[in-house]
Amino acid sequence: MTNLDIQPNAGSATLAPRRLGIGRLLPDRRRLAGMILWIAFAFYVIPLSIAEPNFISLSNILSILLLTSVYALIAFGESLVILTAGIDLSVGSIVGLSGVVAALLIDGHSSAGWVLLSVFAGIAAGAAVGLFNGVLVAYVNLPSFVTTLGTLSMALGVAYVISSGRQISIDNNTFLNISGGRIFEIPTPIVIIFCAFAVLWGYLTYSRWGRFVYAVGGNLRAAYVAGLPVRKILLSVYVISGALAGLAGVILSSEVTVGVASNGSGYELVAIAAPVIGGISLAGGRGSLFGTLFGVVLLGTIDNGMTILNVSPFYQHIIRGAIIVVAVSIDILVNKRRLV
Amino acid sequence: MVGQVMAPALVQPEHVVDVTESGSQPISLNCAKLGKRFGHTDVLTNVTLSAAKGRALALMGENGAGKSTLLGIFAGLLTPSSGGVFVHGEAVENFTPTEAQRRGVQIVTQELSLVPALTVWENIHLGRELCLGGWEHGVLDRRHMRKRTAELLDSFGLNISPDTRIDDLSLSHAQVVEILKVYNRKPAILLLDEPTSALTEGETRSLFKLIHQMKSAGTSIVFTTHKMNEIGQIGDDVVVLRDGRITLNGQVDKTPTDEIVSAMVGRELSTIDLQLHQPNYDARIVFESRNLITTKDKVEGVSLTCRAGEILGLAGIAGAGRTAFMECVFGIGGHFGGDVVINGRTYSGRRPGRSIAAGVAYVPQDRKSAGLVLAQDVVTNTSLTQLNAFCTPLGIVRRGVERERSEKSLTALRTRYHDLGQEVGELSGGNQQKVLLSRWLISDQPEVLLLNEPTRGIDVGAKVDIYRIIATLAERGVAVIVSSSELPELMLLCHAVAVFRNGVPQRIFSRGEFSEEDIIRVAIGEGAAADASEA
Repeated sequence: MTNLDIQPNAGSATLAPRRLGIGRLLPDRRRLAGMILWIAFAFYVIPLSIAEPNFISLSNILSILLLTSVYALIAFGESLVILTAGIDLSVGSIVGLSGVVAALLIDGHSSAGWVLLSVFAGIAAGAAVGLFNGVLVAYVNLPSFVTTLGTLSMALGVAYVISSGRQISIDNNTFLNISGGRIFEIPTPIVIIFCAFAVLWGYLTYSRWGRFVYAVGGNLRAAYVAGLPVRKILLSVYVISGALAGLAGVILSSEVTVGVASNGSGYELVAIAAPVIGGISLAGGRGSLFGTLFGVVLLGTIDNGMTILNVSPFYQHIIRGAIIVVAVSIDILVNKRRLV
Repeated sequence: MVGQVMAPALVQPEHVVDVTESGSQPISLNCAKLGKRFGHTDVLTNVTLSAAKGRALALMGENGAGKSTLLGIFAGLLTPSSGGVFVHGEAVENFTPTEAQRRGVQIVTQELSLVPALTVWENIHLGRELCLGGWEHGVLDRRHMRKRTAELLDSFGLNISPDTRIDDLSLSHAQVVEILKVYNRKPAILLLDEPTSALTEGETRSLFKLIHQMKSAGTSIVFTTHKMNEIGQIGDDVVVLRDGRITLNGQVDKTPTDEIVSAMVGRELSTIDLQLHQPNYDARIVFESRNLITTKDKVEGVSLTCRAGEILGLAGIAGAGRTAFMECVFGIGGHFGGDVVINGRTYSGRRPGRSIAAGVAYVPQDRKSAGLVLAQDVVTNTSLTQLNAFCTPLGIVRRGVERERSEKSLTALRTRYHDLGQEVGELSGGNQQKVLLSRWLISDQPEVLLLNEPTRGIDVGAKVDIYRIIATLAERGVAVIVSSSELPELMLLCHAVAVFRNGVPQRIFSRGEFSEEDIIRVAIGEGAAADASEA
């Protein structure tokens, strides 16, 4: 360890005073945006709960979480990619592909070993697409938007080819239990998303890898000059995003008891919207996975509420899109981020 | 050539608000009781000053004193928290950049606002395009704009084509283009934020000529600078800011230099007193480059050595190959020829990660784009390069140790910050530079420390802190290589100075031979001094 005792000029202050007093307790701008969203959320939930007591029942809350579990997993992976200032458009197709892969493998088998194998194969299929994305982005320097736009189509195509465009129904009860089962009375998918959240958030916040993800997204050139393994970091987030989408595909196919290529079509919308609503900057390097969790729950709750209120599914699309735009606008207005 | 001698403008802060009483020259721009807060920090407090027509006002002050903020407010880029701005005596509400420009205020900021993918003439006329027949929605009059641009470049003595893309220009040429762009708009009030920091000596002279012309034409100029000699050359009035307050407001010819300096630093600072140790010329050679060549011929065969404990300076005009050499050594960029030898071991396939592992540390010249992650906090930025030293085998950061060691190395450099969790982007330039440097004090000391313009745009106080730490590190056996465009700095700090020209060190001066004139001659390739070449 180096000894750093260097004699400073006598009599001059080295540090400015720390921030003290009541000012610390008031929300700063950065937290205010989040608070506004929470308050708006409360204004939605409270009247709805009064009008429709069933809305806040435990079973409905669990069903909201269950419905959002697939979205949550792909949104977590997407968050990592967005933190590095990239985007992964292929997650929806990966959901379809991994569902098909798992369904094909489990077809005609009943042993637990085959279930395990098919689950891992589904995840591996996703990770493989992620690896492909990552190699192109990190080592060929292709923009992530173009890369994943390509794999969006390719992964979907592969899923159609290997399933011959058919729906592959699943009748293995162990496999179906992935979504239908419960661990300590909590539906398995909910346990899975909270485990995934805890591991990812913890690692992102407390590990060297997490620091590097933020640094690469915050200033790529500075990260490179600082000697960080920039390419490996970029590769890792795409692989993780692909693997999580693969897991999501397995859960979804178990939920709908069928593996079909188009299973996850359009899921990238929610996967990108949730982190953005939750304050993760598309420019990279800013935001927390808690924001993503909030975004997913917010979108899921609103979907569920609209269904309870019998809003036509056609209108639901419009409302969901509007919420995304409004939420991000609030963030930008409150933080006074300028275009230039 | 020099603008005619003017009657002194009234600069007493109490009276400047009253425009009618302002001496013989009308006031172009003034502000009253101006205040600006960023978060919990007062950046400007109760600032009252005025700039007269046809005169140049020099804003002086250490980094973080509020100079750039003040210019930003004048240009409508920032909104004041209190007080008012008056242009030609008229109070301005809701001052935006567009509104400022409409009233004839133009600014050249430190961050250039050129479009890299466009050419010089396109940039110079950006937003003010000339059109055939004067119909502004019609066809562009390219021929006219090119011609006008060529005239401007010519009058400045800059030998580049109007069709060059900004991408392909050096930083100093881009700075000149930015200045010409603003000059072409014929501003009534011109704000220049450190206009000469990126310029070579010749370009600086041309700029001063331009400023004198503009003053004669009645333009009022407000500029910031760290260089004392510039005030005497172009300044008429001088205002010194310290911690956001005015500490001196007077006329240049009636204010002694010492007074300005002490108003800046708040303490007497006659000369920088740096105790430089004697290097041991028998010490082992830590760093050696053998015939190093980069792509694009920026560096054409550089062979240099640096011993343990030695501070080697790299001098040369902008574009002489100093930065390309350092980046080549550290492993940023494309393909290279030649070898770098660290402690007797040649190593190829250089890139930053491997260089750091080999004991080479680099502090880049552009701290914002290549150094710091601005959105992240002080600790994260301090520990970034040496994070492995604070990690468990599973890659979890030991935050307690990290904080403690970061704080220690930041304190050694006397870095000012509110708390370690503060975003590094909120710090002043000097303190950002200290954060960057403190990265290499946090863990094992490097074998070789490469510093590229370590004190660019930094106040005297911060400079001294940085010089001291460099000298201390060298004394402990680090081989230090410093590239700087400020000769006095190299002459103060270095045991030897290698002077670059055309991608090659032309001559190495040892400390006993230091002469500013000789070094400049070699750098610009003039006279017999340039002949002797050492390897």
